[in-house]
Amino acid sequence: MPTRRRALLVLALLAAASLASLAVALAVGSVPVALGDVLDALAGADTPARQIVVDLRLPRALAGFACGGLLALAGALMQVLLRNPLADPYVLGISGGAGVGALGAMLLGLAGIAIAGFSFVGALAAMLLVFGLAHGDGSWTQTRLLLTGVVVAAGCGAVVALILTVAPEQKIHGMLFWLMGDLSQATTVAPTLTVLAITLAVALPFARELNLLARGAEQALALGVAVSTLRRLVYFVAALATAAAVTTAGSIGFIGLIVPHLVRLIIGNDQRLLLPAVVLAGGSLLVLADTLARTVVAPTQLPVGVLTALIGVPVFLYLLSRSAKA
Amino acid sequence: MILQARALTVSIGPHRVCDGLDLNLAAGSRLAILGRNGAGKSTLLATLAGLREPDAGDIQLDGRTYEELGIKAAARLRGWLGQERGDPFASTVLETVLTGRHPHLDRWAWESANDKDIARAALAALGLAGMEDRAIQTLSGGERQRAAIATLLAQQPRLYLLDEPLAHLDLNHQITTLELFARRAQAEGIACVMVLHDPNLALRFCDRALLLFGDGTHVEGPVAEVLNAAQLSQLYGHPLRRVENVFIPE
Repeated sequence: MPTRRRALLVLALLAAASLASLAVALAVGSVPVALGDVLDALAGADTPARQIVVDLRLPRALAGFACGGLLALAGALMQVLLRNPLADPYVLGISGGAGVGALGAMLLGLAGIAIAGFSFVGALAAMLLVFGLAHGDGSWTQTRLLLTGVVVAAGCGAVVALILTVAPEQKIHGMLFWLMGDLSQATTVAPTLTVLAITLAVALPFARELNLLARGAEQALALGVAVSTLRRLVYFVAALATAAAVTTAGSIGFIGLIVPHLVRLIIGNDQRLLLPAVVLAGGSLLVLADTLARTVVAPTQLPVGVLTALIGVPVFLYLLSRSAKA
Repeated sequence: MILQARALTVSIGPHRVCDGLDLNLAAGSRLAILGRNGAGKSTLLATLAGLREPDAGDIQLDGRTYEELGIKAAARLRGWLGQERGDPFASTVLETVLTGRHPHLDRWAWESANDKDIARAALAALGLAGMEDRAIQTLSGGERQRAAIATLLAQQPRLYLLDEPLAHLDLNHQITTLELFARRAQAEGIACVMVLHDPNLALRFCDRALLLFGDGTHVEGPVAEVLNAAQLSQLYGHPLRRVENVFIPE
């Protein structure tokens, strides 16, 4: 049972870890920059490293942090909303919709901001479609929402496969990178960071109510939680967070599923601490994974989604087996 | 009156649970709801708890409807024990019981030492002292049931709506749980509505009984009048005979 003081301590530690991960991301790369030079460049000194640190690495690192935080937050919220530990941000088809949008844009020969725009529209369309279908007769249960989302996701998957089949050879590589998750195209970070701040700020005041929702809707209602309003709020916050993340960096896997569980295994399931903690942990993890993705086999860049899975899976399995013994 | 229902009509799907039910429950009173499986006991209880809408009629807690009270104020007045026990995520027994304090806390407040004392006292009242740090999922069915009742005690409502409070409980805990509510009803002026399956326990621990016959008809009144062999035989569709000199748990 975390107290408020312990929660603040945990968050301070995670915030320090986030800063450290950002520092590593700015310093490491094909041109190593000493930590002192990184700080000078950030402070505005006109050093040779300035362009590398401020113009190239900083936007990418911040985008990675924002996407990791958004995905972890969305995953934690979806797990509460669906009362299902297997839920992740993509389970309800939002990334599928974004995928159809993004790949469709690439197929049409669009680039840059147009791809992001198309994928955001696709994500919003999937979000409204799932909500509308699941909410149709006014009674929406977790099972109905989950089934609707899974079916919409499967439909989007089929369209994505169709696009990959008919796409010309030279476009396939970019499409696959998008599908696996890739931060190299992320340049404008302000909107993503803003969405992260907004979604966290909207979700946090309801954290104790989410604790009750996770234990069952009827009991939460009997204990004074406006369940149907809260569910809608959580759905749209999680969906918006997912849409913002996939729009920025494609569908990066495993962060949204594994980070909430990792954090839960360490600090428990009190959403008041868990929600801000997963944002910091998810952000740091994705920044580190992306740093690895662009350095391990440099100059070739790996899609970061592959790295998050390769790091996340063994760490998660280790923690799971450890907690089973305890 | 803590609980007042007027001309309450409740149905679930095509099935009519009750038609024009009037209830008046004063402080200290305990009402048993009896009926066959599927008669609609839980549905009626959830309706009384404000968790689902009745077809017709109105329900008042302390003279106000659920709408007038609002969700959170209602949670300070009435507690509801459901039948479902599912915790998909790990948590300790103390954390579980502390959820009962939610309606008493402000949005940004964390549980105080006083809240924890209330939760510990509730656990002790149900014989779960010392289990505070156990994971809720490692508890037995009966222990989980008692933890759920402790959560309800921590909520400190004035009206307890108990759906099969004795489920999974052994004989000892069935009696001590019913004694606990009977004692509190007298000492603290609370009222209880409980779904029971044993007319003997209803006769012994409740002062009123509501029989739901499953066809929309009902009988409600003091236990001495309502619980007789003829009515219970009709209620359960099985002949019952009243006997004296049997062994019952003290």
